[in-house]
Amino acid sequence: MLMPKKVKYRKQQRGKRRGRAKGGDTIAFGDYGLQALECGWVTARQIESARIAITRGVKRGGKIWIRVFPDKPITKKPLETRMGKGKGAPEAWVAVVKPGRVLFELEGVSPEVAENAIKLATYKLGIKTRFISRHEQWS
Amino acid sequence: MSELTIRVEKREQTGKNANRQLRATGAVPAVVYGGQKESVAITIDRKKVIELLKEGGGENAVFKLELAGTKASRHAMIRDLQVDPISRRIIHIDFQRIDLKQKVRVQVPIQLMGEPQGVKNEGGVLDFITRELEIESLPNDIPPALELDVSSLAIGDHIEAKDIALPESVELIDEPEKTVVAVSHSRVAAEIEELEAEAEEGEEMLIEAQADEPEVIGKGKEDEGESEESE
Repeated sequence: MLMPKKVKYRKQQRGKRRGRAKGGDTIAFGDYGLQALECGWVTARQIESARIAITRGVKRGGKIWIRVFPDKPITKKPLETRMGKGKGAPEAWVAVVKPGRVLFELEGVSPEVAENAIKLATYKLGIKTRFISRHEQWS
Repeated sequence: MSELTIRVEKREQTGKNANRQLRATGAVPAVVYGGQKESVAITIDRKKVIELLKEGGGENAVFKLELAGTKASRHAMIRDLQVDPISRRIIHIDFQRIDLKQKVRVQVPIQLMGEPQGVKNEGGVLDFITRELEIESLPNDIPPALELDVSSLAIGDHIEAKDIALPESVELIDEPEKTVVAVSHSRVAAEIEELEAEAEEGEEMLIEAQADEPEVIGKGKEDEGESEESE
């Protein structure tokens, strides 16, 4: 699973997720992509699971890019613990995703195969997403 | 490339509020500049622009801008097209005035023709590395796309920018040695085999497998042992 190799601090504050993606909102490498329509945290597990779904969906041929990286540690207190006594232990790694962000890109497959593979990946994510294509840039 | 005539209106109001109101009416704020003249703020009909862009073969089309209420017209090309990434609506267009007798530098998309032999028969994957090439040409001679036949490529083969046949009046500006396409071994296919082997052990195991915590810069391992209090 994706996670940083080195960090400056083990724990982070939660931060805000409002607003729109500032960058990474267009298809840059492949022909098709999966774009977020909501803001939220996408965990490393969800990213890995979605990647596996896409890999299985394209069967053979094709190339995949992961455009997000889970660099934010999320902490959790153990179950049945009283409040206080400091912040919990790091539990997961998440990527902060904002509307417009392209999460995955695909190349080298037919549009039907790409759409199907991306659809399988959307089920693995906890946010609303859509399939986008390089050829339909504006409307 | 064909010449597209579009009617534009002068825009008096500028700024965020005025432009948002304008977009709500189905218009797109735009600006015309270049040609050693003052820049002029204009508005255009959004539907008309999209129609023309789809007809005219993309963003390198030559527009003839006709100012409403006058007989003034001017040739211009799109310099920048801003699109809302979520709604995909055009939100602003920059037009640059051009002289039809002067060469311009533009990025032209490459269109691949055929399926490479390495992909069809050998299970390789086509890597489309450079999707656009910078060329210099007279505005009316700009090709809508540069066609490139890749059907003869086997695994390990590649095509460079200099190998693309350009029309006579078009000059390549990009580096001639720039790789455009390459056919390589598919990583996805290898990964699928790997996945299938691991599937017996269970997919969950793969996802659950949690690596250790990352190294904390400047603190070392002793801080990691810091007790996470729990009652």
